[in-house]
Amino acid sequence: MPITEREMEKVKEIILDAAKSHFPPNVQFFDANVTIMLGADEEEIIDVELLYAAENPVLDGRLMNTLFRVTDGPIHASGITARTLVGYTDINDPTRWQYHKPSNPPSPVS
Amino acid sequence: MIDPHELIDTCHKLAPQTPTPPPSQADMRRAISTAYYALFHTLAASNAELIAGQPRSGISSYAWERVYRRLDHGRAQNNLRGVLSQLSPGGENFARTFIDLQERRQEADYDPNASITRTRTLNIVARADTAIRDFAQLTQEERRLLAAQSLFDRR
Repeated sequence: MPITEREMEKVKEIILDAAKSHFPPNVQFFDANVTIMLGADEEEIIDVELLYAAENPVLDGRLMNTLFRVTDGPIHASGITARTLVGYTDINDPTRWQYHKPSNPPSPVS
Repeated sequence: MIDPHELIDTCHKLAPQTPTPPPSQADMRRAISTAYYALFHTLAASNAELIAGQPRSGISSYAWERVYRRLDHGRAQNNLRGVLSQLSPGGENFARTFIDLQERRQEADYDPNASITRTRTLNIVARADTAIRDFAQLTQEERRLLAAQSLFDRR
């Protein structure tokens, strides 16, 4: 079954809330971009990109790895069966705006 | 030998923590892919050691390599999903990170529209580094479970 907008919004809400309570106060989470990505078997996966600000641009690997412990239960309880992936990007990261820079095809050889 | 810690070092060279100059898209994509492979080779080496033993002769080296090379990305990802609830927190962290970073590696290697940022890349490398440290703390019993699960399908 295709992932619905409502499911994406619900996952965003659960993960953003959990991130705000899971990480120490010096890491502030503001928003999340939620998209659908295709997995290796072309199954739909909910991809959540958490936007944060922190003194250190690199977050605690253990906290990042364990966020799912707080979120798996509520996501399953909401009836959402799609897998969820979480990414983390600093809101002030200048490379954020290079995402969709169109790639230039190689110039023809003259 | 492929040393997972050297692969993590390579990730840091490709995507340094210093903000300037920003790494190129190509460097960040290679760093994400390499972070996944650090996990892959951690698991492959453990599987080979547990099943074939330390390579001490031509015959045992052959056996070790056969087991090492048996690890398949898709099979490992699918099968590890099935045992997450049976693992210790460290084992679950490793398995979950392996599963997640395999998707990130696919994205970094093949998706031209993937949103690759510097901090996202650094955080993926940090997750991989933590997962490898967690793996080093696992009991042999748990590593055996991960080996059996990642290498073999249920009949």
